[in-house]
Amino acid sequence: MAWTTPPTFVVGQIPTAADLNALLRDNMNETIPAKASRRSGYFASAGTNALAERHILRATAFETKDMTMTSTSFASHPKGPSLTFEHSGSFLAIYSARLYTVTGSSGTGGWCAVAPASSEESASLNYSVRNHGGDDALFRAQAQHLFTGHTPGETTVELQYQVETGTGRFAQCELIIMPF
Amino acid sequence: MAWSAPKTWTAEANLTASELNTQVRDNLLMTATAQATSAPSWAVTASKNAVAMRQIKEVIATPQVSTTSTSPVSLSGGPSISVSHGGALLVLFSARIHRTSDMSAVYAGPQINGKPKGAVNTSTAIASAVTGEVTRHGGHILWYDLGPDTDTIEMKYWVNSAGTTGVYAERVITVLPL
Repeated sequence: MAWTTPPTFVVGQIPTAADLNALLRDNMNETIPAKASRRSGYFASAGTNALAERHILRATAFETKDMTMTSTSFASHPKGPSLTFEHSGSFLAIYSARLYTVTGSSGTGGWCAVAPASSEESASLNYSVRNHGGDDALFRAQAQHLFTGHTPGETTVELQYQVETGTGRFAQCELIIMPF
Repeated sequence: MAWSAPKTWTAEANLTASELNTQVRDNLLMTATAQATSAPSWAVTASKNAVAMRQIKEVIATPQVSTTSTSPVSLSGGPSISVSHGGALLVLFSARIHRTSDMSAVYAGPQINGKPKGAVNTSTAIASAVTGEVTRHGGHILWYDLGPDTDTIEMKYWVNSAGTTGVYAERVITVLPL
């Protein structure tokens, strides 16, 4: 079923059953009330003249996670957090974590970072939650990133972790996704 | 084109072309489905009986910049972003931010260029009073009652007192227009 541009009727024209089915039934079935399935959702563009119902999702990994890296790249943790969802090519990730570098020290030690990653876009320091040094303080930071240009469909996003040197300590990590 | 309140049909009334055009064609063209494009966007209310597809946008400025200004200034790379909206904007922003010496706090925050109601201020800015660390700070602002418009949102930077240098990098603005 797809949207059909509503035609202009002229005087004397008698609408056929096919006209009404395409113009009324099929088009009505593409509108928000027809597609709404449950509360607290919203509608995003799924293409030209197409909408899809979306819902905000949240995942957390509250436990303290120590990660010691041997290379400066982002890595997954078994606890995630991660979320799997449907989208039409873009989605907004909002994330926060408490983090510090256990063996680093301010100005001389390494930094640690948290950023979201999908199968089509690696985690990046450019928008990572990031703390330098530590002073043994679980500092909370928050950031966001709009993923765009992804293949529409189901995607999994997870928070990933990076430490410049030493051990990074991460806790109370939260990931919120708004799919579009 | 505008929404017409659906009429109540009566038995044996003549169905005219004009009625079909206003009651069916024009009202269908007012739905979000008719306005949807392939751009990343969401359906929001625009006014009474009107919806609009608003485009969600993000811009990142990665180079490191600095200022000693005690009033909000623009810095190279912005970031800045232009969005169309119906009168409200949810803006999420973040940056790596620190000061170079143990002086006063340093700030960054977005403003709506040319709109007094959208002026940047310390109450909603991200702030740091940490020296030499590259920690990211994030904040958010909900602006509303702006009136429908296309506006430019730009990050501004300043320090609390003279003699302080604020340093900023990897600056991000994400806008959800309503």
